[in-house]
Amino acid sequence: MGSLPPWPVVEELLLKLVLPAFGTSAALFLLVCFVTRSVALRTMGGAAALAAGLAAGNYGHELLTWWPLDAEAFPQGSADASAVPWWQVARGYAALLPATVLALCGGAAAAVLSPRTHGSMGLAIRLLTALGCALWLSEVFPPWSLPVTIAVVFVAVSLSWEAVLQVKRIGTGRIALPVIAVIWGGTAATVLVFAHSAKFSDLAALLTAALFGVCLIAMIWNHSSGVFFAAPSVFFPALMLGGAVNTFSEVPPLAFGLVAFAPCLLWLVHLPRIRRWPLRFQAVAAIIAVTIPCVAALVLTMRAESLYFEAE
Amino acid sequence: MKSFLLLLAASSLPVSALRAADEHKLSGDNTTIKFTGTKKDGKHEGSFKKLDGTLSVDPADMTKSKLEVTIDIASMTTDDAKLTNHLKGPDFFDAKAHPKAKFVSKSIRADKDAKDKYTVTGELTMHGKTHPVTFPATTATADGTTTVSGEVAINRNDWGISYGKGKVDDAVKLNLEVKLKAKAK
Repeated sequence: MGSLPPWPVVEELLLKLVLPAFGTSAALFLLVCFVTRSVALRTMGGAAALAAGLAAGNYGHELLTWWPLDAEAFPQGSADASAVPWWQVARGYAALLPATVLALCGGAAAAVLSPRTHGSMGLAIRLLTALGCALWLSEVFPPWSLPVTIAVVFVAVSLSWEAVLQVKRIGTGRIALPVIAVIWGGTAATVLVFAHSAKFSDLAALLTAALFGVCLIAMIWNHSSGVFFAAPSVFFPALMLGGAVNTFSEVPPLAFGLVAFAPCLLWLVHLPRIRRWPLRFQAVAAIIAVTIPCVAALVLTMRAESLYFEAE
Repeated sequence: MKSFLLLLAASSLPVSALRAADEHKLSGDNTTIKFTGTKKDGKHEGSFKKLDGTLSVDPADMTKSKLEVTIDIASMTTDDAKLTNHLKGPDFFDAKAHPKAKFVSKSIRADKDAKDKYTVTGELTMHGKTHPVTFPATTATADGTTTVSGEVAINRNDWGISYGKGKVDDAVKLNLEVKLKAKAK
């Protein structure tokens, strides 16, 4: 029962989810970079390219709907969506896609406005966006109450988002951030597939592929990729919370939490001693900082559970 | 699934074995609901251990009989513990978000050509969606116990349970068996 994923499963994931997400986001952002030299337009274009990558990968796999309506709003379990007003949208992991787009919009707006307001407006927009996403995506995680869960998600989102932006600001982000994206997303996908949810694992792979697409082009074009981390800063904490709440497995909640908070260790890179290192070493330190909680999460997960693919 | 199995049971109750307007409480003790999922190279079987509901039988007019059954999705068991966890998770039943499945009968019709055979129609709510279900049911009485049994295949996609399309078959077979003791007059 502890078998590895069979090749047809991996092949389908690559062809129908990873490649469309990566290819679409990379190609669109490349086009944007060719078309305009404006940093603001490239920032907004990159955010849109990432969202398009999510749409392309999700289209092939139909993991989530883009505007999920609240199931409880349907009269007597009716499937008639026209009976439910558009604003009665679902909460929790079902709303991951629209909430991620909201985060990208907030991140892009903050990035565009920040230089004109010495960063204060940008910080305010990011905090408001993080709060809105935490309110939208949080679901009750016993024994915590909903307000406590919302507060924890807000802290995870805000700390991760700001930590990534700090890494970008000190100049280590160009190479470190794409690597961090793969480590963070890869760990999330692994923990979730061990928790017996291929759907959640595929969602982690979807965002990782789309994010890596824009990060790769940003690295080649010497454009900041920090703004695009608005997406994983919201997506991964909420996805891991959804995994902890909705899956049935022996994977301990701590493993989900370690992945959700993984980028928070990036703040260690700002220790004065590390700040004196050459930039390339600081970049390595940033990658190691994220890797540590990810490895801990993987160890906890693999000690508690084994993979199950026979049923598929 | 459970609910429609229960419905099946209700529909097949022989009038003679039950008093007028008898109301029977259904539970995991007297009702078994099993399901069978198939794929290209095999199959898995499972069942639900917890359910509750009522079966009201009107012997004078079977079409007025009524069945309501609510199934606890988290009580699912299968032939493999890890498969059970996978089925209860977001890929399939999403038991945390949709903890209950419910079947409510709408009509029960006696078969004109065969004794103790009925056609049960009702609505099955599962995974947040409601769809009509119709299935044949039969009854048999022995030693004071009426056994109702039935079988139906549903398309899991109708209830939005579409994960693994192409690898796991869309049709899921459901089996119901209800054992009811006739009440003494």
